[in-house]
Amino acid sequence: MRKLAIIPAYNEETNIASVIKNIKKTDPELEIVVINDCSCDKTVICAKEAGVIVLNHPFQMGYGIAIQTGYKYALENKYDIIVQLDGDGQHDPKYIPEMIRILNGKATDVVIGSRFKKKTQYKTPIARRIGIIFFGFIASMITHKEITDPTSGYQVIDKKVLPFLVSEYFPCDFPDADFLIMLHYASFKIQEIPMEMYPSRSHKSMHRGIIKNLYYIFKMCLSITLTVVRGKVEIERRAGCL
Amino acid sequence: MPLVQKIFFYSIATVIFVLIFELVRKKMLKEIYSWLWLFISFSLFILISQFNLLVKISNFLQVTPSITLIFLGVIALLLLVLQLFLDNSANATKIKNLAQKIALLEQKVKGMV
Repeated sequence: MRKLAIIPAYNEETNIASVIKNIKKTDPELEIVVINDCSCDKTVICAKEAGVIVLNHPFQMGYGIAIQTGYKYALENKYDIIVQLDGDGQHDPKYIPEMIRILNGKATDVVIGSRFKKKTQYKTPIARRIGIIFFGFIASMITHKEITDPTSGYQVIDKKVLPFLVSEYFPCDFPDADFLIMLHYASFKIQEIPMEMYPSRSHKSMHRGIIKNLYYIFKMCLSITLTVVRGKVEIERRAGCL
Repeated sequence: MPLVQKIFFYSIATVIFVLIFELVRKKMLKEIYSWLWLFISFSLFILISQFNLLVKISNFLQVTPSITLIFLGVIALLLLVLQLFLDNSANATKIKNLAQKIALLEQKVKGMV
């Protein structure tokens, strides 16, 4: 069984080497690919020195597109399990074996690490927390599953989901609650597991600034509405065609 | 419609038509983007020359014929903007796919060397 860890990275020269080292320590069989989103620091050098494959975007395209590049790499190279985690050290690789074990239980296609399923030390700004609760609530209502952390980028994914993830249905702007609803409509099974996450060491966020936050709310509402309107039949049919 | 207004709108229609035609001829504008502009210019000619049609539309909208022309012009411009946005969205997807392909191929080539 071939396993791949995909790590999207933008200007992570201070963190990427330790993230890679920790993953290798946890699971030596896990192959690692770093998707460098046109960093202007030494991210590429650090990643290559750590002995992993680096995919370079010719220009910066954002987090969602970076992870989709990772999915495309995994699909092309026929990996069975894909572990997706951030390059800023937020995600502790110690949960990977447990997540893979749950995935291999065959009842789940996507395992998501949640900061909020159990009380942890993780601190989130109040506005962001409200957004997470709101969109998590909507996702839970639609999927009939408890979704507590729709923004989590710590996921383990089965190979059968890959064709769907590389399609144009994948929301490259902010893969979030809308993405989980799409997965549900495409008949993939999602499961959240509680975990501790650390504050981002690089202090970067996709949702920084008022304009970006407002756009995020608008985009998420629109995307969820469109997903619901497209409905289960269309998305399922599309997923089946891939 | 007063003569001055007629001359003004005829001039606009002529300028649009000649400008778009020349831009397409010089390959500075693709044919695909020209059709809506030429349609606008052609419609303007029709509406000015067929004044009764313009009056009917104006009566329906309850405004003066000149305002109707400006109003229709704004709608036409909105359609043009929409066409550009549609095109831009399609291009953004193509650029994204292309950039991802470059990243994957670059890795493949490096692996072969």
